[in-house]
Amino acid sequence: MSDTSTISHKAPRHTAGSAATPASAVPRKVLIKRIAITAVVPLFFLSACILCFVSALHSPAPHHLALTIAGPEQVTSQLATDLDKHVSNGFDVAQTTNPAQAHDDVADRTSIGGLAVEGNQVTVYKASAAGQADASVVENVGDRVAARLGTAATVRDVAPLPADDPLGIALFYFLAACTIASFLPITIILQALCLGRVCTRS
Amino acid sequence: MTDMLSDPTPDRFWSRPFGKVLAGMLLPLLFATVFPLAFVTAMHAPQPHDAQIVIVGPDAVVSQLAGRLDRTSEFTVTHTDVASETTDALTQRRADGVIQVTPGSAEPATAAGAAAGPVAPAPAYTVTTYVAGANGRTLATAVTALGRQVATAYGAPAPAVKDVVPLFAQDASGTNLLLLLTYTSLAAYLTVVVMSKIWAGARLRTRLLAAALAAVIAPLIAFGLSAIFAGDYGASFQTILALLAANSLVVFTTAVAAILIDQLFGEAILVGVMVFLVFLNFPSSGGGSPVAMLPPFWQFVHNMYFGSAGLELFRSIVYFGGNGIGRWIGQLVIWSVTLLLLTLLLELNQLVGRQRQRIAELTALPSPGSPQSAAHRRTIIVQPLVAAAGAQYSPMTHKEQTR
Repeated sequence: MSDTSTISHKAPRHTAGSAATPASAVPRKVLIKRIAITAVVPLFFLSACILCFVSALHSPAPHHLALTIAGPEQVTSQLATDLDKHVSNGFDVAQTTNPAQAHDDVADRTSIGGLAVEGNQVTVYKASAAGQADASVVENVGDRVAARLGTAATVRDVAPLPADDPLGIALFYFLAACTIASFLPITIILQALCLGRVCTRS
Repeated sequence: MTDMLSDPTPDRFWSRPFGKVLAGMLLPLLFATVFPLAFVTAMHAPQPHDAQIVIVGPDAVVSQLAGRLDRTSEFTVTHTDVASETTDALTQRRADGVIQVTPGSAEPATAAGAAAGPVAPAPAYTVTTYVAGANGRTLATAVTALGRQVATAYGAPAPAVKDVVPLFAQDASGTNLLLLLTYTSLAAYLTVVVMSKIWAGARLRTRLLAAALAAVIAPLIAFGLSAIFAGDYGASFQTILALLAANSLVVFTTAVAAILIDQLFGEAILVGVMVFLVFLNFPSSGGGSPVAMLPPFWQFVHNMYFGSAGLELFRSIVYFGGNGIGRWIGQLVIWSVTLLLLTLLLELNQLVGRQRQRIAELTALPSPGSPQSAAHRRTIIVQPLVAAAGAQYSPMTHKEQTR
């Protein structure tokens, strides 16, 4: 392989004494390969990121959100039916007559949220630490149920977020940083020690 | 030959495998520390900082409250009795929130009553809160909370909340424009990074051409793919064209910034890209947390950086009918032109440096006829001339080179 046809991250840069390699001095095959790689890598990441992130995050809505509804059987059945009618497959409702169960299911993460209906009193159990969007949906459902009964819901946060992380994003960024910082060293070591593909080919 | 050209001092510590690995570890280390620092400090606990609030109501009623709120670090408050400001201030992007205080059926508060302050309000007032959901949910929540406080102060019932500029239904989380900015920017700097790794000798005009191509293609692909899930914001064809044009400018600016970073940082391009195009760019953009909810440092960055200019431009085009675009276009264009000029100047400077070195090498030529002289002449005279003439340069033999 001639020197000019080498694809390498160690190719001469714009440093003093080394002229830039003009496109005309590079074999056509190598030039096409360079152009293809330059185009394909960004296109792949652009497409993959947009597809993954936009499809996941664009419009959060409940899908099989586990909800425990406690109260008289007649009331809980009616609420479960109404919820299913309102948002098809939005909620997986567990019904119980024990009001404490609504709290316990949220606390042990069996359910995302809980509603306890006692007379015309509605208590909403949410866990902000499990996700603000989930908690918001649960609270919204509780408010609607309470409004139907002509009262206001009492909201109890079973797992509140700390005051200095009210959106609960710190753990997410911690995970992201740990993940990226764990595969980055491997990639760099492979490249630095010429075990990576591009490097090997130089 | 490649090794010789790229590694003229092979005995240097950083050129050895251990040194390379050690140097390579700097990037993950930087990422693991600065990434959480940047994003978490910007977004972990959004609090209003100088959020622009307009209070609409009779001067005698609202002036004292407005003055009191204005003295806090959270809000910058103006007041007016022009009722149309409830919507105009938001749609024209002059305010982050509007609170209207309307005297009810009871007698309006007297000046003496108002002077007593909102802690002892007249009972019959209604308070209405106006927000622009498109500016960000956390900001709308903060303005709504302020509206409740105002209502309590006036003894009014819980205020009605009206979203004057709501988010598009399929962009309920308000993140789509941030994702558009993030991933088209990624396409821009990735194009330059990949070129720097596999095509290090590419001329500046080739890199700028790649940047221009990325500026045309990336927005089309990003918007096209995101539209599958998130729709088109219910926008007209002209609005979408304007959004794509703005996105193209952002991509080109980002790519030129990456080229400049490549010129300055060389092999450490990724470090520069991470710092200037990711860690500073995205937390300050106002997409993750609205500018009024960012800490002062990030507000400062927001008010002068190009990523924020891009995101606010997108918002103005998609949600605010183009209101307020002038400032952001200006900010973005200033960055584009400045970065382009710096890139050209640096390239010119490097070119002059190379030519000076060649002249210096020419003046130090060995005596004519010597074998070293032939090889030297071939290296510093023939190669550039042949290359410039567009001919295929035949490299020196290994024997000649190693003499």
